[in-house]
Amino acid sequence: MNRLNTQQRNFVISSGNLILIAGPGTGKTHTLCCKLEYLVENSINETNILALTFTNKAAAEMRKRLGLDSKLLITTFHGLAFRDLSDVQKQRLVTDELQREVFLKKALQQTRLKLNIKEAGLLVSLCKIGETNEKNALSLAKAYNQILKDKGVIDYDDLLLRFKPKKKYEYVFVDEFQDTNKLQYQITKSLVADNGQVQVVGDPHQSVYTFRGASSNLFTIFEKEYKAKRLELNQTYRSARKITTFTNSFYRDRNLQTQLTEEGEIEFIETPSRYSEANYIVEKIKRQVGGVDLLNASDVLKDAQSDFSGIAVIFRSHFLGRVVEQKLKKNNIPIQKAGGNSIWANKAGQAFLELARTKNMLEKSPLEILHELKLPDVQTMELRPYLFRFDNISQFLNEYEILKQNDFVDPKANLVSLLTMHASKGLEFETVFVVGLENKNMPMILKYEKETKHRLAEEKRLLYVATTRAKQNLILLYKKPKSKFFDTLNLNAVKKVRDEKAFKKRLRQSQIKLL
Amino acid sequence: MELIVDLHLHSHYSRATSPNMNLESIYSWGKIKGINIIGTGDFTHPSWFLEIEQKLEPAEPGLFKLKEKYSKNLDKNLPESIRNNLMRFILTVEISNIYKRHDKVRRVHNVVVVPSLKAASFINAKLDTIGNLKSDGRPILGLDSEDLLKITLESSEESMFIPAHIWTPWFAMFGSKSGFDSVEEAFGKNAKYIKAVETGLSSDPFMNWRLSQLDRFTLVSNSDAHSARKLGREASILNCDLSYSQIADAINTGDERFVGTIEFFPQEGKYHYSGHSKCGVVMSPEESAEVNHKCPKCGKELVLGVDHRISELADRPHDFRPNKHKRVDYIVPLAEILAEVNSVKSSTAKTVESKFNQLIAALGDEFSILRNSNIKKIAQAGNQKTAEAISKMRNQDVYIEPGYDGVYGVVKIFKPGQHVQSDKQMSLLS
Repeated sequence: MNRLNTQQRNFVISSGNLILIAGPGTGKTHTLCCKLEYLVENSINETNILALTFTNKAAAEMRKRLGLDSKLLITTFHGLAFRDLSDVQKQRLVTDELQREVFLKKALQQTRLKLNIKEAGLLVSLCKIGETNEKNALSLAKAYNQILKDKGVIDYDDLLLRFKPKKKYEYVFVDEFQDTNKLQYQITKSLVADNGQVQVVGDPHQSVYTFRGASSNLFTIFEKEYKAKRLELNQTYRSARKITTFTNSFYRDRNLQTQLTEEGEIEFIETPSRYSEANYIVEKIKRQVGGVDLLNASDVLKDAQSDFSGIAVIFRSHFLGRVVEQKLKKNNIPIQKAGGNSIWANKAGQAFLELARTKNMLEKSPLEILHELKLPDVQTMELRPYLFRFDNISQFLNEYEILKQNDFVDPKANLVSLLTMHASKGLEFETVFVVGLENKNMPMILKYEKETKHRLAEEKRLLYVATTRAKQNLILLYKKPKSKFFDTLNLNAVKKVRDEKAFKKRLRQSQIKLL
Repeated sequence: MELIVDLHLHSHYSRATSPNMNLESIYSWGKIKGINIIGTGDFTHPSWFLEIEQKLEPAEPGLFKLKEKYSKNLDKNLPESIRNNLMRFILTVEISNIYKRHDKVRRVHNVVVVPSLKAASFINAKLDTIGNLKSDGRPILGLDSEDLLKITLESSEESMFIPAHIWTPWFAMFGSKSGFDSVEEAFGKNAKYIKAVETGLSSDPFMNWRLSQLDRFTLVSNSDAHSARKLGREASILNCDLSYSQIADAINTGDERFVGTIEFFPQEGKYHYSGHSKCGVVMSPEESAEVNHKCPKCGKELVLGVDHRISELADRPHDFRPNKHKRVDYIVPLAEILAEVNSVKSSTAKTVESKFNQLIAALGDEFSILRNSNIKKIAQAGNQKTAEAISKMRNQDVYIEPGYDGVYGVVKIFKPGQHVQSDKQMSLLS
C-alpha cells in the first residue's frame, strides 16, 4: 500500500461498482494486484474473487505477482469457460489454429467466397457472437458450423457461447475492459453474485480490437447499468516528459502527468523510402547499444543506453516491417518476431516434424529421419546441428514441445522486438521506432473499406498505443506526405529531421540512371 | 610432445573474413605456420557446421583431422619439410554477447571450446532460440555472458569457456568501453568455472600479471585470425599428449603441461596506447592523464588504450615481474621480417613470398624458424640480414611505435632511418 499514489490507493480502498480509467504506464496491473491483496487482507474469501484478463500472459503475470500460494482465480474468459468442461468436452475443443484453418478453407470452398483465411475466420467469429448479420458472413458461418458439427467438435467461440457459469463471485474484476465484446460483457454480468461488485479497468483510448467485435462504448453501458463510479489514474511512470506531452495531445481528455524527470526525445524523420527508413533504424540501434562490431564501434555514443531488449520497431501492418527486418538480420542484430524465428516453420522443418510424428519413429535417430527426407543439404542444413545431439526421436519431441511453448524464443534472450501496433499493446521499451507513418499507411484504410469516423478513430488509437510504448526515445518515420493525424498533434517538442544523407544518395542514384 | 595451439579464429562465414578461411586453407597454413591444434571457429554457423561434418573426421579423442581425400592433394603441394607436420582441429566458436548487466550495456566476446559435435550441437540448439546464427559465423547474441557460460558447462563437462581478448576496449570482459572490473563482476557465482582468459593481441602476460586477480587463470594466446596468413600470430605452447582432455586439462590447470605463449609485441595491437585516430593523437597513460583523457586537437574523449585500462585495474607496479613464470616468446611474423629486410612495403609482395617459401622449404614451418632454428642455418638458407633480424627479434631488440584507437602499432626490427646493414658488412662483422 505504501508503494501506491493517492489515486491508486483510492481505487484499492473504494468499494462498489467501479470503472478505473488507466492510461499508459499508470501502474494498472500493479494497482489491480494491490487491490486483490487488499481484499484478501480484509478477510474476503479468496474463492469469492475472480479477475479476468485479456491474455493468458497477463493472467500469468498477475498470478506471479500475487505469489504461488494464492487461491484467487485469475484467468481469461476462455480459461474460465474451459475449466467447466468435462474431459471429453475438452478433447472436442479445437485449440489448434491450423486445424481451424482446415475447416475454414473447406467452408470457403463450399460457399465459393473469395476471402483469405484470416478474414474468413474473423467474419465467422463476428457472426457467431452476433456482431454481424451480413449475408456472406452468415452463409460462411453456417457452412463452417456444419463442418464442426459433422466432426463433433467446437471452437473457442462456441466455448464462450455455450458457457453457463456454475459459480458466481462477490468480486469480479475485468482488466482491459476496452477490448471486451458484448458476449463477454454478458458473461461478466452472469458471473456476479446478487450483492456482488464489478470493477472494470481499462483505457477507452487504447481500444484497438473493435474489428473483432470489442466495443469501447461498453464503458458507458456498464456505467449506466451498474451505476458505476468512474475513477482515473493519471500519473504515468513510463514516458519521459516530451513524449508524455506529445501523446497527451492525442485526446482532449487525456492529461497524464509524468513522474519521470528526464526530458526524453522525439524525432520525426522524413526519409525517401522503406530502405532508407530501415538504414536509419539500423544505424540508430548500433549507436544505442554502442556498436555491434569493430567496424562501427569507435563512432558510437559515449555511453550506450540500451541493450537489444530495450528497443522495439512498431508498424501498422507486417508488410511495413519487412525491409527493416531484413536489414536488421543482415546487420546481425538479433531480433524477435512472435513465432517468426523458428527453423521448424520452413519446408524442411515441417517435413521433418511430420515424419518424426508418424508411428514407429520414436526409437529412430533424428539424423536417420533427416536422411530419409531426401532433401538437399541446403534445405536441411539448419536442422542438422539441432538434431545432432538427440539419440532418438522421442527425446527430440519432448524438447520440441518445450520450445514451442516458449514460441521458439528463450525467455532469457535479449532481442530487438518487431511488433505490429496491435501486438505492442501492454509493452514498454526504452526506444521505440514507429515506421510507415505516411498518410497512405496511417490511417490504414483498406480498399474495400470506407474511411468512416469510426475507422479513423480506431486507427488513431493504434497510433496512440504505438507511441505510448516509448520510455525515453520515440522515433517516428515517414515518407512524404506524413499522416494527417500529425496535423492535430502537439509537435512543439518534436525534433523534425529530414534524412538528408538518404535523399542525396537517392538523388545520386537517379542521376546515374539518367546518364 | 610440444603442441602449438591456436583456438580462436574465424571461418569465411564470419564478417570481414577472407574467403580463404576454409578448412583446406586453414589446414595448409596451419602446417606452414607450425600450428598443431587449430580451432575450427564458427561452429554455430549451420553451413560451417555442415562443412566440418563433411570434411573432418574424428582423430584422437575430441580432436578432428581433415579427411584424407582432401588432405592428400593439399599435402602434395606443401614442401617436404612440413608435409608431415601434425595438424588437428578442435571445435571452437567465438560469441559476441551484448547485454545489460548491473544497468550498463556490456559487449563481451567469449570463446567456447567443446569436445564433440554433440556438445557443439547442444550449444547451437540453445543459441538458435536466442538469436540468429545464420548471418555471421561469430554470432551477436543478446545473452548475458554468464548465461552463455552456463550453456557451455551444460553442453559437456569438458567444454571450455574463455573470455576473449579481455582488454579490447569495445568488446571484452575488461574492456574500458564495454566490460567489467573483475571476473566476479562479469560472471557472478559462476566465475569459478572460468579457468583461462585470452590476453589478446594488445596485451602480453607481463601486463596481465600486474593484476593479482588474474593469478588463478591460465593466460592463453590465440590469433583471432580473419585470414589464413594471420593464423598463429599468437598461440599457446603446450606439452601434453594428443587428446582433447589433455589439452583442456593443461589449459584448465595451467600446470607444467601449459608451457607458455607465443606473443605479438603488445604495442603492435590496435589498442595499446590511448589516442584518437581521426586526429592522429597517440598518448601513453601518463600523457593522456595530463590532458584529462581528451583529444588536444578536437576535444573529444580519447579512446583509452589497454595500457591505461590495465593500470586502472592493476594492483602491482608497471615493472612487476613474477619470480617464476610461464615462457613468453615474442615474435614478428616471418613475412614482415622478410619485407623489412628486403625493403619491400607489403608483407604479401612476391619477393617476400618467394623468400618465405624458400625458408620454409629449407628449414620447416614458420614457428620453428622464428623460435628454434639455428641462426647460422637461417643465414645459409636465406641470408645474413634475415638471420640477424630473427636473432634481434629473439632478443626483443626491436623498434616499436605503439598502436592506438584501432590503428595497428609499428614494430620494426631495425629502427627506421637506421640503414639495414648490407650482407658485406654483416660478414665482415661476424
